[in-house]
Amino acid sequence: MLFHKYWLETRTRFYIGILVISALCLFFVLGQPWILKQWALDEIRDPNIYNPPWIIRAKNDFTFFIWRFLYNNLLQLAWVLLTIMLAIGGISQELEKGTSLFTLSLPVTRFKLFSLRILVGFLEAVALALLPVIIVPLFSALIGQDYSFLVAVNHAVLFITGGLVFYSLGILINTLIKSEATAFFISLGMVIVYYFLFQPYSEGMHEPRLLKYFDLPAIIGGNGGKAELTSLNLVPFVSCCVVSFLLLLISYYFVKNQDFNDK
Amino acid sequence: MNDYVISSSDLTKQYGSFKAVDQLDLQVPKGSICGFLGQNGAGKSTTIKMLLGMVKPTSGSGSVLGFDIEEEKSSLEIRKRVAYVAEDKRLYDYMTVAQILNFTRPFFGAWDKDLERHLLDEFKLPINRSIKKLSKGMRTQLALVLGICRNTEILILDEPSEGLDPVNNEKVLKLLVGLASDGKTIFFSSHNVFEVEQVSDYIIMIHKGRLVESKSLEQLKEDNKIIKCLYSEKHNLDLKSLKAAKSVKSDPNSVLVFADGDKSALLDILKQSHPSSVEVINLSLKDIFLENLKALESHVIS
Repeated sequence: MLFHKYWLETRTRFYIGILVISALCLFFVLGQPWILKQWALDEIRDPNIYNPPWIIRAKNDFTFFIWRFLYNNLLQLAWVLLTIMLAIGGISQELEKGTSLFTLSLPVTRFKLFSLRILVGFLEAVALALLPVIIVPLFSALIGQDYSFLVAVNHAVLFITGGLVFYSLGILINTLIKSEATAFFISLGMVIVYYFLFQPYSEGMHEPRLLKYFDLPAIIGGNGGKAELTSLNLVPFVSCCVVSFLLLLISYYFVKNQDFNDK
Repeated sequence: MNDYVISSSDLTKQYGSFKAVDQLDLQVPKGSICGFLGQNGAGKSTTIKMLLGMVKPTSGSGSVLGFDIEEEKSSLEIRKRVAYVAEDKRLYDYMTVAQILNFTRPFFGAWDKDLERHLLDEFKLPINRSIKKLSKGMRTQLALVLGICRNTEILILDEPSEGLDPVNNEKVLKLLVGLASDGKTIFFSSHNVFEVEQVSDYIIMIHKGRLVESKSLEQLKEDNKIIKCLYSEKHNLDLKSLKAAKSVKSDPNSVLVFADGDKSALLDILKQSHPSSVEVINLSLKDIFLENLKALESHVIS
């Protein structure tokens, strides 16, 4: 029953996620021929136009094109924001809505309330990460392009791995801050700052070794769309899981010891 | 009345320097309808939340049906056996009446479906209406249905009549009496002293987090009385001699003594001051409550 409650609480955000992810994937997959045409027209209009190396590669490599526009760009950012949106809620924020006492009067431990809420949000996030696995290869075939199903799966795994950290961070912020709106905007601000800090490195700037371990956008993005499941790097995978686990553990510590009183 | 289903010892909840509940010794007899009285902010809701594991006590201990309120496993057992209707009657806005009933029912094995049907019919609750579209009174009624139908040994109700019209309030009070006659213990807080007096057989009063009274209603009324002395001339009573009184009001021609327990000693002292008349006045629960508050606030109490 708790699963159903949490599903009802989060389903609108999940549906929004489906719409956003589908729209982005469809736009860049089905729009690829149109974008290439625009680039060609630009070159006709101005033969001396400067094309950065990634455009030259994207013209000839569809997998790279998808990676550059989706997995390492808009789709990634949208997905991170969606994981943060899915982290909103939970028993701590029910205090503000006035329903926490009803929920806590049920014969259920706080651990169960906390973990089931996290599980529902996480499963929704996983479903959203898996959506491009279907959309991208399928619609690529419609425009005569070949997109490897395995590469799509690999990106989904990377999304889930890196996204888990943002999701867990979202859970922690939502546990500490009782207002949903405030928690969301703080999480949003943190994501923006995070992506702003790591932006130069995604544009090719040399990244100090220490920073590489914290470069979640790079972990989520993968290596230029060429990665296969077999080449999945275990170090970032394990470190993301450990960091997420620790963030969730801290969140649970606060939930376990929280007083549900408005005084 | 020695069988207590709820008890606490030195139960304290402190927020910074403010003590919401201060060394509270609480005892609720089994099978009673126990009215829990106190002003706003007296610590009633905090006490209830501590009993149900929603707020952690700063110090002291408590038990419900023999289960320790501080242990998580015990707290779970408490919530299996205790139905709670909170002061804040807001429920899940994204559910309909039917959905929240379907959601709550499976948590409680002894859920009383017949009572659920009866109450839905009695309150005329629209089963398919979204909770966010219910009036305040309807939300209170739904919260009561969700609590009462759990069919638990104890019902803890925090302001159960809030938002109810007099007709439905009367129905709820009758229902509580019926449940108590079936052997259930009802522990309920209310600002409405009249309704507490109407249905309760045991009273617990708290003020600023501290216990003021904990007695059967009958005993409380027997103990708390006002002795009114009238004098034909200005009296010369030494008020300091009335230390046993909870409070004393005096003007040149009269003395009003609010007293608890055995009043014979006080009556002897008063009679020595040669009043023209002495009258022992019975008090309503409301008067007892107000007199106690006045006595505590004016610090006349010894």
